[in-house]
This record gives sequence, C-alpha cells and structure tokens, in this order.
Amino acid sequence: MKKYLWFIPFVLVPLPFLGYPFLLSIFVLIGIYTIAAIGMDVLTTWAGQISIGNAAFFAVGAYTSAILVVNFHVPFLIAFLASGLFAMIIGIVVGLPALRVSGFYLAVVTMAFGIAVQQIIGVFQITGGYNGIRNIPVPSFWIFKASPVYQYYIVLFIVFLIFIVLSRISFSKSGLALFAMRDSEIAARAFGVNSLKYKLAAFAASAALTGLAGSLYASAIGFISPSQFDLTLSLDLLAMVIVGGTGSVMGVMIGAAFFVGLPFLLSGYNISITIIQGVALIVILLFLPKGLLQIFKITDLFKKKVI
Amino acid sequence: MATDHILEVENLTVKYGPIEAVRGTNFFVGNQEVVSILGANGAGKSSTLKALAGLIPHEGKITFLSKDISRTEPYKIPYLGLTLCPERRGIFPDLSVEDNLLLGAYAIRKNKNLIKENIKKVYALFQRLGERKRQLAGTLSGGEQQMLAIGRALMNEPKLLMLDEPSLGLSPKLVDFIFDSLKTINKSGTAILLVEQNAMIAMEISSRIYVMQNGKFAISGNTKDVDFQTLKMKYLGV
Ligand SMILES: Nc1ncnc2c1ncn2[C@@H]1O[C@H](COP(=O)(O)OP(=O)(O)O)[C@@H](O)[C@H]1O
Ligand SMILES: [Mg+2]
Repeated sequence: MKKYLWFIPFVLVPLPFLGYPFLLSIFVLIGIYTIAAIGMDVLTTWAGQISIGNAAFFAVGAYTSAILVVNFHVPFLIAFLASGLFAMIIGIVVGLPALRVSGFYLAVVTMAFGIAVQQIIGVFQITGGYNGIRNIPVPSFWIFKASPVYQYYIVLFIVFLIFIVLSRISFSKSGLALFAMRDSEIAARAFGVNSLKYKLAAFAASAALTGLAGSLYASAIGFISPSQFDLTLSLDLLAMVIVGGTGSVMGVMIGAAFFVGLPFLLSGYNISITIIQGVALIVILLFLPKGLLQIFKITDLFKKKVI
Repeated sequence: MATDHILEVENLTVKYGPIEAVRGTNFFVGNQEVVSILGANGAGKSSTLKALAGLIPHEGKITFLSKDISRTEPYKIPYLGLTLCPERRGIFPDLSVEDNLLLGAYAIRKNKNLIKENIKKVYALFQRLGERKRQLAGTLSGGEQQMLAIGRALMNEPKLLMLDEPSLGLSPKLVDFIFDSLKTINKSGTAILLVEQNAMIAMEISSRIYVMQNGKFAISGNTKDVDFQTLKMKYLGV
C-alpha cells in the first residue's frame, strides 16, 4: 500500500500552476514520455533486451489514434486502446523473428525496423505522407473538457494504472521468470522457463505501452508527421531510462522530466540543448551510475529491481 | 531397454559446426544410482549434459523414465524431473537467494505446499542459505553459490539430478561438504549424473564411471574396478 502514496504529491502538482496552461502541458508531455519510457524499461531492465526502434511503436500508436479520431470520428478512449493493441500486434510480428538475436544484433535489427516504419509512414496517403496529420482534437471525456489540467490527471491516472499492473507482475511467478531469464537465460530455461515466450511478452508489452503513449502524444500535440518519430526519439527513450534510473516508475519519470523539461527550461537562452543534454548525460553516467534517482534517495518501488 | 534405468542414452552426438564435441556415446543411469562422467577440459562433458537438458542441438536417442525425450524442448524437460545444475552454477545474481529457489520450483509452481516443503528441505540441507535468504545471490561466496545452485535444482523435485562440475573453484573443505550433501540427496532417492574433472572426489560417491576423451568414452565400468592412478595418468592429463 505504502508505495501508492508516492502518487499523492503528483496529484497536487498542478494546483499552483492552474494559471499556467503552458507549464501544465509540459507536465502532460512528461507523463506521456514516462509511459513510453516505462515501455522501454520493461524491455531493458526487466527482460534484458534492447530496442533502438521504439519510436516506431510510438508512431504506430500516434497514427492509429489520429487516423481513427480524425478520419473515422472514433471516440478517443477506443482509439487509445486500439493504438496500444495495434502497436502490440506489430511488436509481436517484429519480435518473433527479431528476438532470435540479442545484444548488438537486436539493437541493429530494431533500429532498422524503426527507420523503416518512419519511411513507410511517409509514403502512405492515409497517414498524410511527409506532411503528416494536423488538427488532431484534444479528447474530452464526459465532464472533463479539453484543458491541460484535465489532460494531466488523465495521464497521471494512466501512469498509476500501469504502475499497479507492473508492480503486480513484478511480484508474480511470471515476473520472477522474466527476471531470471534476464540474469541467466540458460539456467532459466533449464528450470522450465519458455524464454522466447517471455521475451516476446516483454517486447509486446513494451510496444503496447509505447503505442499508448503515442496515442496520447498525438492528441496532446495536435499534429504529427514522420520526422517526429526518428532515431533520436528511440535513443531518447532509451536514455530516459538510464538517466532517471532503471527499474522504477519514479526513475523513468525523472528521466522523462529531464529530457522533456530541460529543453523548455533552456529555450529562453541562446545555447544548444543538444550539447547541454549530451554533457549532462555523460556527467550522470559517470557520477550516478544508477541514474538521477540516486540523488533523491528513492529506493525501488518494485521488489525485484536490477542493481 | 532395462526398466531399472532411469536414463538411457544411445549414440549421442553433439556438433558445433565442424567440431564434433560428443561422438556417438552410449550410457545409462540406474534408478537411484550415482554415475560420473570424468574427463579433462574440453572432453565433451558439459556438451553431454546440455544435450540431455535439451539446451543444444544433438543427435541420438535419449530415453528418460521410459519416455523418448530426444526432441523435447528444453523448457519442458524439468517438468519431467530431469534437472540440470549448470556449469559455473548459473545462479541469478540480481535475485535474492529465496527467489532463486522459487525459480527452481518454476516447473512445480502450481503446488504451493510442495514448494514450501522443498524450501524447508533445502534450508535444512544448507543452513547458510536459510540465513541469507534475502541476500542477493550475486553477493554470495563461491561455496554458497554452489549450495544455492544445488538447492535450486532440488526445488524442482528432480528424479535425476545432473551436476556439471560442482567442485569447480571451491576449497577442498567445501568440496567435501558439497559432496557429502550429494550423498545425502542420493540417499533420499534422487539419482545423480555427475560431470567432474576432480576424479578422486567424484569416484568416492559414484558406483560407476565413464571416462571421456575427445567426445568418446575411453573406459567405463564400476568404480571399484578402475585403478585411479592409471586413470589419472592416461586419461585425465594430470
Ligand atoms: N558453443 C560452442 N561452440 C563451439 N565449440 C564449442 C562450444 N562449446 C564447447 N565447444 C567445444 O566442444 C568441445 C567440448 O566442450 P565441453 O563439452 O564444454 O567440454 P568439457 O565440459 O568436457 O570441458 C571443446 O572442444 C569445446 O571447445
Ligand atoms: Mg565443462
């Protein structure tokens, strides 16, 4: 129970900023990237696999959602769930052959997949080609009107749900099998763990979470085009996990805040964000190998965390 | 095939590309027997065990408890009661001692009471594990890690326990302790197929041995009929 209390401060965060919708929309973006970064964390920290192509799942989610809402006037909630589902299906289709390799090879295979998806999206009519899709409406639910503060609470609620589900999995037999496979695949298999099944499940879950984040992103930003889903996004998702701290929702949230918030903080000054981010990345990796989470002295919220 | 053999292997062959690591071996393990495969480094001992566990491609016929398991997928094998305690232990370093044990019981995960009982048995056999159950396995000493590897294998309720060099890297005193435990495990009804370079200690607990050289058995027989000195000089390269 105690671990759920971590979410209470986040419920209060928007209150001082009610008059600053721009700031609130940055918090919303941080929440959205947190979901995608959790997707990366599940794949890397939990399953010991890697992907440098998760931008593709982000794109699949964003486009699925945008097309359903804009072209077919589907309610957002359905479009949102469909985005996760479709990204997951693609994740399984790609993961089935890709997961026969690991390490560097898997990194390269997923990178190629990410680049290919970006190119494919650019040539289709329904995706708006390289111009993308504009005027994607912000969803409004029931009494919740389309405003950043409501978006914030919707995203926070989704993060909370994901946290509950993941936390349950981490305590279950399936979680144990997954972590064992990450630690020593041969030994896990020798004790009856179907490693391909678990790797695939992790890959599918990663794709689904990233797809869900993509769907939220499309409606939060209101405009998507292939150039937003490039290799840099894939690498950023990976870096968020490393910078923030692996194996915990709080860690990746810090990572997401770092990558989303920093550019906004620095936007008033005439300095290159890329250089600042690069330097910060190196400094963090050198002095805080477990990520920024270390500064805040937050221990893991899951039982079985990677050290 | 004699029904008092828990494991029967015919013409087992393992190839790594052009390298033939195991070349058509035949052997068996009797019910509740302790059998050792001895041999120098690179003889093909580990490849033999990995093939039995289904972890590497192989040819030949493997019969376990009267069932042909030659083509059985690796993750199905522990469900049959054939359990490998892998070379260099293969423990899960980032999991706690107890989680390592729980994972060992993955194949019997539905049976919660049995798991509890087995954990108790393992802690009775290796008290040091019980004292360190919340510790991360990667921080255990070498001897404790070997205890954990064996304990984890026992969690699976093996009918035949396969051990790949349990003496590796341990002090003589610890080796004695580990092999005493193997004797205890065998007395409680578990057959053991042991792979060792340390022939002397292995022969102490085995009723029969197979001596492997370049993927084939050079000699085999009852332990008491084998002369240890010739064995050492001729086949083990020590
Ligand atoms: N994965 C592998 N790829 C290629 N050759 C291997 C592999 N594993 C083992 N070998 C070779 O097979 C032979 C037998 O190895 P192994 O079964 O590990 O021997 P032992 O356990 O008796 O030391 C050795 O020559 C070794 O180099
Ligand atoms: Mg070996």
